Amino acid sequence: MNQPADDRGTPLRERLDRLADSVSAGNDIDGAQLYRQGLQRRRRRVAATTVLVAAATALVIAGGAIWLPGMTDDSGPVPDNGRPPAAGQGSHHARANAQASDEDPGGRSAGQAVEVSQAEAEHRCTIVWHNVWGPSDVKVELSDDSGPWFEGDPVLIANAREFDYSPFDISNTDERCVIPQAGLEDNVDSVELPLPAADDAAGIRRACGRFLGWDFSDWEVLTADRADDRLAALLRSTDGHIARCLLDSWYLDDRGFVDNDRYYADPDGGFIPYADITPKEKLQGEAKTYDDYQIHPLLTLGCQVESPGQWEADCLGAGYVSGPEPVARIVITDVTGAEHEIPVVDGWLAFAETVINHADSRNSPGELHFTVYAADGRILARYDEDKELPFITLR
Amino acid sequence: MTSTQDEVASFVAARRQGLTRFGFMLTGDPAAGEDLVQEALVRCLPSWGRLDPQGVEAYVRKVMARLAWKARRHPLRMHPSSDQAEPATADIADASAEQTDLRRALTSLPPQQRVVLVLRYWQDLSEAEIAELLGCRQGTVKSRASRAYAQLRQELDWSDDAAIADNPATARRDVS
Repeated sequence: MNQPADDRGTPLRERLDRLADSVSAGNDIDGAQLYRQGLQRRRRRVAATTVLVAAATALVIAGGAIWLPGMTDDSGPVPDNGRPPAAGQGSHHARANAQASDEDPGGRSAGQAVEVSQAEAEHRCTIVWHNVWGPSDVKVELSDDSGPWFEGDPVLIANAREFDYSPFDISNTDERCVIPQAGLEDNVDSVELPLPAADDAAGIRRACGRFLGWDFSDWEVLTADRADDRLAALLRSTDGHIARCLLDSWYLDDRGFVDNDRYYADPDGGFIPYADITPKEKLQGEAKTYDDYQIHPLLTLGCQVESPGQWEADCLGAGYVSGPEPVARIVITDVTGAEHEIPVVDGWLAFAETVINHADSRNSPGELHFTVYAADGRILARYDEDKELPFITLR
Repeated sequence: MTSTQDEVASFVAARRQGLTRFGFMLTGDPAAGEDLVQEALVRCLPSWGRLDPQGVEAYVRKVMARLAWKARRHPLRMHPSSDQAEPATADIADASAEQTDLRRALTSLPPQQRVVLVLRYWQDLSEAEIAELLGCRQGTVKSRASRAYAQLRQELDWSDDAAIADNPATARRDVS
C-alpha cells in the first residue's frame, strides 16, 4: 500500500468502501462451520462432476451466434422434456454410419425419457456413491420423494453426510447424483485406460458413456482430440443434445476413479474428469450477445502437466464456436511459438493438446494468440488473449 | 476437531467479517464471496502450521485473490451459480441505489478485471504489488485496471467522478 492508486481512484474507492460496508457476514454459523462448508463443497465437486454445468461460461473469442449452413440434423426435434435420449431414442439420425434403431435394446420406447422408481434411483446412486467414496453399508436416500424421477436427472441426496469421505466432521447435506441408465451405474465417474484414440469413435462412445453412465452407442462423435493422457470429445444425439466429455487421467487411482487423497493434497485443486449433456441450442445460444467469434462454453482449462501445482498448460476444452462466418479451424500460438491447430466441425471443436501458456508463472494471465480461419484459408480474425481482454469474458 | 481445525475456526471467527467483505468485492456476490473464503481456507490448510501467525490473514487474502484471478481458468472450480448447496450467510443490508448499481457493474466485469480493480482502487495496492500478489506482469495489471475502470465508467455512465463522489445520491444515473 505504499503507492496509492491514481487520483481518479479516490472517488471510486469511496464508493467501493460503501459497497463493501454494506455486506455483513451472517451470524448463524460459526467459523468452524464456515470452514467445514469449504471442505464440503470441495468434496461435492468431486462427486458431482457430471452435475456441474459450465455452460454459462464464455471465453476466448467473442462473437455473435450463427447457425452454420450444412448442418445435417438441425431440423431435428428438441425433446419437450429437455432430457437427453437413451440409446435408440429419437426419430432420425443424420449420419449414415450411425443409424438409430426404432426399438431400444433395453425395450424402452423411442423418444421417451425413462422413468425410474425412487427405490431404483436410490439403488443406482448408492452404487455410484460407494464407488466414488468407498464401500459402506449406507444407502442413498433422496431428499425429495415426490418424483417422478428420470434417468439423467440430477437428484439431491438427503443423507450425504453419512458418506463422509473426509476425515473431518462434515455436517452439511444436499449432495447430488445423476441417475445413470440401467446397468451402467457400476462405473460412473470412472475413466477406463488407456483412453481411446481421437479417431476411435466406438472407443470414445464407450469411454464417455462409462463415465456418465449413459449409452452413447447411437450418438455421433462430432469431433475429438486426444493428447498425452487427455481426451476431449463432443458427441451429438439424434434429438439435438450435445455431450461434452473431458477425460484427464491425472488424478485417477488404479480403479479409474478420482483419487480423492491425491486431489485433496493438490493445493491448486486441479481439473478432474468431467462430462455433461446439454441441449445443443444452449451451447450455441450462449454466444448471441457478442459481435465477433466466440467459443462456448470454455476452451481454456488448466491441466496438470508435471505435478500438482503446475498450471502451465491450457489443454482441455470442447464447445461451439460462433461468429459472422463459418470457421474451419483455429490456430493457437503459445508462448514458445508452437502452433496448435483446432479443427472446427460444423462449429464444434474439441481440444486436448498441451499449450504452454504461462512460462513465467502458473498464475500469469493468458498470452496465447488465436487465429481464426475460414475453409478457404482466409484469416477471419486474430486475437491476443492478453490484449483482447474484452473478448475474454466469463459470464 | 484437530488442533489445526481449531486454529482455523478461531481465525475465521476473528477475521470473518473482513474476509467476507474481501470475498464479496472480489466476486461481486456475497455468496460467491463466502465460497471464496471457504475455498481459500481449505487451500491454506496443508500449510497452516507453517504460516507466520502474524501473516495468516495476508496469506489467506492472497489465496483468495489468486483464486478469484484464476476463476476464468477454472470455471468448474469457481462457478458460484452452480455450486451453492449451502445457503449463503453473508448478505447485503440496506443497499442504496448507488451500491446496487455499483455492485451490478462490478459483477459485469470479467473476473480478472474485477480482481485488479478491487485491489487497485479499493485495497489501494500499487500495480507492482498487485503483480506480485497475483504472480503476473505489471503491464497486465495496468491493462486490466485500465479496462476495468473504463468499463465501470461506461456501465454506470460516470462522466464526472468528482461530482459523483461529492454527492453520490444526486449524481447517480439510471443504468438500464
